[in-house]
Amino acid sequence: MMAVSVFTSERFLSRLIETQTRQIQALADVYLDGLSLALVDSMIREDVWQVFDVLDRSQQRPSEIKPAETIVAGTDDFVIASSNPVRIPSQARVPARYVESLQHVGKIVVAEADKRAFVRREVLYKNRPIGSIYAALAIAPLLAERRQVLWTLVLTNTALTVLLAVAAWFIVGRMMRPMQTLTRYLERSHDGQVSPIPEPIVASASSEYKRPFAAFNRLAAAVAEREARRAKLAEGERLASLGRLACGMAHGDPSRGRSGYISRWLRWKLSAAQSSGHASAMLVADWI
Amino acid sequence: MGSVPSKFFRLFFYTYGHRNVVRAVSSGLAASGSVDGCVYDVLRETEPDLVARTRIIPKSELLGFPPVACASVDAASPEISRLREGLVNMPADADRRRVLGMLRLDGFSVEKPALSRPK
Repeated sequence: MMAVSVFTSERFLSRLIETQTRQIQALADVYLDGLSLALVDSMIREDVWQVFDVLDRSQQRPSEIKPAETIVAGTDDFVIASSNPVRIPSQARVPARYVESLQHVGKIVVAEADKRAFVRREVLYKNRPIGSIYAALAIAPLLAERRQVLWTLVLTNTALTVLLAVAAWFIVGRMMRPMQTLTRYLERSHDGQVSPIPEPIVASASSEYKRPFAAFNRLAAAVAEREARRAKLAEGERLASLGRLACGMAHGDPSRGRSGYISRWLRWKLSAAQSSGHASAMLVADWI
Repeated sequence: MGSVPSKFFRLFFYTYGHRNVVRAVSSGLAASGSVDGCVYDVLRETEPDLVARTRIIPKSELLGFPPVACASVDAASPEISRLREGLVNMPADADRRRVLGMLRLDGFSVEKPALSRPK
C-alpha cells in the first residue's frame, strides 16, 4: 500500500514539475517576446537609458511572472543595461552564472536552490544577432506550490494508509473472529473437554462459518458419545473383575481366598449391581 | 572643469528628461546627473521616495525658468500675441491659477531675451 502510494505521489509530482516548467517556459517566452520587440532599436543604438527604461517599466507591470533580474547585453556579452544596475552595471560582463547555466538559447534552466529560473533570448535584427536578453525569473511561488502539493500528498497518503490499515485490521479481525472461536474450542479439546460451540454463537456466525461450526459440533457430539461408551465399558470391565475375584473366593481358591466378610461384602455389591442391570454382574451372581 | 564628458566619465548617456535623470541616479544606473532645480523641487513633493535616494552635490546660481519661445518671424503674429496674453494673465483667473499650481509656477512674465541666454 505504501509502495503504491509513494509511486503514485512520485508520478503526480513529476507531472506537476513538468507542467510548471512548461508554464514558466511559456510565461518567459511571452515576457522575452515583449522585451525583444521593445528593445531592438535601443539595442542597436546601445542606448543605456532606453534599455533601462524598458526593463524598469516591464518590472512594474503586473504579471503572472516576476522577473527578478534582467540583463540586456550586446553580442560581446557586455552589459548595455540591467534591471539592477547597482549589482550589474552597464559595460560590465554578464555574470558567469548566467552565461554558464544558459548554454542553450531559449531553454529555461530551473535553479531550485536559488528559487529562480534562468532563460536567455538572442535578439535578432534582420536575421543578425544584435545581443541577448538574460532573465532570472522569481519562481518562489511555484516552488511553494510544489512544496505544498508534496506535503498535501504525503499527509493525505499517510492518512489514507493509516485509515486503510485500521480498516483492514478491523475487517480482518471481524473475519477471523469465528476462526478464533473455533480455535478456542479446539484448544479446549487438548484438555479432554470437547464441548460443542453454543447454539447462539453458531446462529450469529456468517453462512460460511456455520458449516465448520456445525461440523465441529458433530465432532464434539461424536467424541462425547464415544467417551460415554468408553466409560460404560470400563465400568463393566471393573465389575467383571470384581466378579471373577468373588467367584474365586467363593469356590475356595487359595490364591484368591480372603476372609468371610469379603465374600459377604461382594455379595452386597453384586446385589446392588444387579439392581442397576449390569449383565456381567448377573453373571458373577450366578457364579457366586 | 576643462574636460569633456567622454574623457571624465567612464560612461555617459542621455535620459531625454529631467525626471529620468533622477530615476537614473536613484536606481544606480548613473552615479550622477544634471537636473533642473524646479523639476527636482516638484519631484521632491510628488515622488519623495524617488528623490530620497539622491542628493544634491552642487547647486548652480538661480536662473530663470526655461522660456516659452517661438520663431522670431512669428513673434508679432496675432496667435502668438494671444498665447502671450493668455500666459501672462493666468494668475487673474481661478482655473488658470489652478493650472499654475499644478506646474508649481507663480505666473509668466515677458522678459528680455538676454535673461535666458548663456553668459
